[in-house]
Amino acid sequence: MRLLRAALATGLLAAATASSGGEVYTVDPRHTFPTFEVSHLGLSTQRGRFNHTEGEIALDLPARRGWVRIQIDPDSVDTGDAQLEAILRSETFFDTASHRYIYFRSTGMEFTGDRLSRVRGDLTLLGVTRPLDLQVTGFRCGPHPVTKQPTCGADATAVLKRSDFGMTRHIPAVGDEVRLLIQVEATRQ
Amino acid sequence: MKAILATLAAAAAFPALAAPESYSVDSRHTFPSFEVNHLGFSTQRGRFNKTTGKITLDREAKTGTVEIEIDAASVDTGLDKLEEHLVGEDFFDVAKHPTLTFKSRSMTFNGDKPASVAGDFTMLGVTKPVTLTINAFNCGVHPINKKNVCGADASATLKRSEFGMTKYVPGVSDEVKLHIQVEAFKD
Repeated sequence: MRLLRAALATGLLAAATASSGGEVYTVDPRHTFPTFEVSHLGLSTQRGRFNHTEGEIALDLPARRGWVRIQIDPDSVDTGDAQLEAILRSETFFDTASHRYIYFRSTGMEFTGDRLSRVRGDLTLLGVTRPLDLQVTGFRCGPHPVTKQPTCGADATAVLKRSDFGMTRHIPAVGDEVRLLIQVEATRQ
Repeated sequence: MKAILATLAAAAAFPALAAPESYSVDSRHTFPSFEVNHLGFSTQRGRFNKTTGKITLDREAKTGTVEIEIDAASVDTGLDKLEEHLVGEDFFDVAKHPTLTFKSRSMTFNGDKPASVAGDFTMLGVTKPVTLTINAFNCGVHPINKKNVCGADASATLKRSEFGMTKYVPGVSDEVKLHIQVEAFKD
């Protein structure tokens, strides 16, 4: 009975460790910026960036698993054009008064060898949650040369249709398809 | 005979109409972005917020010119401390070099659309050849103000050390990738 209990406890402990997904990293907001690209009148690709992104990432590289939880402050949208930013914050686009954050929660990770190659997850924008897959085009972990702290960095891309989240203003003059380019760095807790 | 002369005169007038058209850069839709590798961990990005310039195009003769001026102090990364560092002596040294400029030397076309622009890029007072690849190009009538407008997406790669910007190479990569969206209204 004792053995069974011990086995159960070990099993629970193992399950807890597995669900934690490994070592937890805190996203470094100074080196983590999501950028979006949209077609403007079929003439050019216009870009914007969010300046405030927070989150946690867990990585268990030997087990090739982990999770990602990110929140982006849409009020921090930055295009280099103050008039455009005011429109983007308004209810016609990010409606930041009603929707305080954009969320990404992973549902799975894929690895190619030791390299993180894909993060499957759900994006919540304007209160609408839809699946979004991030292709990880660059990934490296190692000690930060200055702080010596264990650090991981990644470049990720994704494509979504903003109409899927109810953001339909000016489609198709301003493209429905939005391409995301995201650089992330995170420091181990 | 009068009719023929009139027709000839009209025909002669068309090439003149097709002669180089002059465009002014729309600063609200023209932004150069740059990408550098940061410590091998990630690709960090920045943007210049103030860009002006003139473009001429003769799509029949397949020639054109591009002159762009970027306000170095308008660099924007989303991070105030980094911007303070970038405008200083270690990087863009805007007190001494307030502008970055690009002046074309030649243009190649794919059909009637520009495909690349070779020119001289001046940064920190150093001028080196840089070729912009035009990844997309379209012209049309702007749906709101009804002006003739052209737009393009361009990209280029350069080594910042060639312009004397060597700080933190290679921790912050020497290679810089540029992505530039441009829109310009016909004068």
